[in-house]
This record gives sequence, structure tokens and C-alpha cells, in this order.
Amino acid sequence: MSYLSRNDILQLMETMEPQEIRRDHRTRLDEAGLSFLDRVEAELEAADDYLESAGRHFREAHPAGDRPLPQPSPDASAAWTGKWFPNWAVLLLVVLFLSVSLVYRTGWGGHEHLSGWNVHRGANERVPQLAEKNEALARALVERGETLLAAANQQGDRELLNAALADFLLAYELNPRSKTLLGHLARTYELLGKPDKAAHYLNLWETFEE
Amino acid sequence: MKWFDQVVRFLNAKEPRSELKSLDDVSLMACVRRGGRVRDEAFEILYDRYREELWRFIRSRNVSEHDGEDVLQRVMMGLLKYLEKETPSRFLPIAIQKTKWEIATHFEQYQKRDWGRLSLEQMSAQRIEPMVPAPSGEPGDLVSFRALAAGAGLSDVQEEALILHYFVGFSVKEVALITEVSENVVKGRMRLAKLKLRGISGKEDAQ
Repeated sequence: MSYLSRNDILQLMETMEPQEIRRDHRTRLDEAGLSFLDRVEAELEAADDYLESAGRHFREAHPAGDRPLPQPSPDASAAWTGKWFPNWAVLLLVVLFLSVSLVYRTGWGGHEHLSGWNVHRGANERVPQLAEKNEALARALVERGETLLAAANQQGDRELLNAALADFLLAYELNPRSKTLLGHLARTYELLGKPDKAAHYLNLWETFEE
Repeated sequence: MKWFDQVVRFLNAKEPRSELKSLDDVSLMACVRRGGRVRDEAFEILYDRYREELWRFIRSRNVSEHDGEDVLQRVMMGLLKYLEKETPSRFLPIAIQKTKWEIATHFEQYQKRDWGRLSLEQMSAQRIEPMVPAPSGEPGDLVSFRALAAGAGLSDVQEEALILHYFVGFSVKEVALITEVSENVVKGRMRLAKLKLRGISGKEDAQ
């Protein structure tokens, strides 16, 4: 690689025409550049050869051989922490749900007394109590009606008879399964002069089965 | 009984692999996805096709032979599971990606727990990674190619292109597939890298 020095250029300017100087300068520059590129190409080729031989050496040092296609081994899939964790979590959730619902259904937790979230269970339990109350009320009504009926018989008062009938009818609404009450109703209607209704209740009294 | 003859011929066919062998990667992956008897054969052909390269790729990442087998096994099992579900447009990039992932996981596990195997220092002392003749030294002297590349100022992509092409043995086209750039980019990267490595061959002194 050679470049023109300042002296060279001055010397050339003295001896050559400007056109010639330019042409000569171009030629010498081209030569210098070409030689530089050639050298780079040669070095690139050398680097290529070097890498080729090094790569070949590496490839020969590490052959794959006749390594067969690997089969799944049990210990490769035994990482249960990664593989089975979601299933364990799902199972745990299911067991939790079942145990909580079991405690809730059986009432072992005593929670039905603690809050209002279980009121419908209380409502179911209150139904028999209501029936008992109704029966007691019906009994009281029947007693009062009997007293009124007795008084009406003595005094021959139609008002008292009507009052007794009202009591008996209300008691019949509350507790229809009473043979005595049916007899009272039939008797009261008879006294009131309504034989068809008396006959109806008498008929019921006759066919009643305790 | 034409169908019966066909069935008998199919059952007696010893090597249906010869037909599969001529297929390209995409068709083989489709066979794997279809499942059944063809699945194993197609996958085995895929494995045979890229076995050498995958193995050398694993070794070029400084994984010992013993651990390399584990890594290769995990890679192939993972690929089989993946190919049963999906059919990618190329096999090689997926395979290399999976291999990189498994190697990273492998070294992560090494750092996490002591399995009574080699430590990272011992492993680097084994010098599995691509070793090349030292540029200026005794004839038997070897240096790590990565260290050499780092010294010459190669970028990661340039170093990767050189390793994949020269040491692992992929063609330029395959390197382009793996690195997801065009072939010309790969050639340019390798040329620049070789320019940076110009001095290492030692021929410069001879001139």
C-alpha cells in the first residue's frame, strides 16, 4: 500500500500535465485499494479455513453416535410438585367443600343458633309448635262453645246459640279432626232450625273414624 | 377381497419408514399430530434428521455428556408433546428454542441445588465448549472460542451465527431459520465476525 506524499505530488506537478497527474493518481490509488481488498479477502479466507478446521475438530470430538430416541423415563415425569399440584389443589378444595357442607347439613357446628343464615331450618321446626297451639286454641273454643250452648239451652236465647256456633265453626277451621266437635255442630244447627246442615254434620259424625 | 389384501399388505409392511423418510419436516409433523402408529415413526425420522446437530448444539453450550443426554431426552419428550397438539410451520426453530430453554433450566437447577454432580466451576474446567487452537501459541494449545470471540469484540448474534454454522454444523439456510433473519443477514454477520477475527488464523504473520 502506497500513498502519494506531498513531495511526490509536487514533483509530479512539475513534470506532468494536470490530466496525466490525475490519471496517474487514480491508477496508483486503485492499485493500493485493490491490494488492500485482496489482502482482506485473503485474511477472510484464512479465518474461514481456521473456523472450518476448528469446527470439524469440534464435530469429530462430539459425535451424536447411535444415540437412540430417548423414551420417557419414570423419574422424568415424577416431578409431582409441578405436575400434580393443580390436581391436589382441586382435590383439597373438593374435600373442604364436602366437609363444610356436611357440618352445615348436620348442624354440628351449632351455627344455626348463632346467626340468621339458617332461618329456614328454624321455620321448619316451628311448624309442629304451631299445630299444637292451634289444637289448644280449638279446645278452648270448643269449651267456650259448650258453655254457651248449655246457657242457650237453659235460657232459650238464639243470640247465645249463634255465638256458640261461631266458636264451633272456628274450632272446626283450626282442628277439623274431632268427633265431639262434629256432634256439637250438628246439635247447634238442629237447635237453630237448619236441618240440612245438621244432617250434613251428623253424616260426617257417623262416618268419622278416629 | 381387495380390502383384505390391502390390510394384510399394510400389516406385513416391515418398513413404512422408507415412505416417510422422503417427506419434509412439515409433513412429518403433520404425521406426528395425526397420531397412531405413524406418529412414532415420523417422530423418529425427525429425530434422526436433526440428532447430530441438536447433540452438538447441546454440547456447544458447555453441557457434559451425562447431563446432555438428560437435556436431549427432555427436549425430545417436550417436542413430542408439543407436536401432538400443534403443527408449527418449521421444526428446526422450535427444536432449537426448546433446547435452549431446557439448557437454561438445566443450569438453573444446577445453581439451585447441589445434586452431587459437577459444580459450574468444575464444568467449565472440563472445557466442553468449542475449543479452538490458540492463535499465537504452541500447536496443541487450545482456547475457548467464546473467550476468543469476546476478546475480538464479536456481538452475540455474530458469535451465535459462527457457532451454529461452523461448530454445530447447520447450513446458512438453517441458521437463518433458527435466528429468524434472512440468509443474507446471516452471511453478513458471519463475514463481519470473520473480519473481526481476521488476526486469529496466524497467516497474517506469514505474509
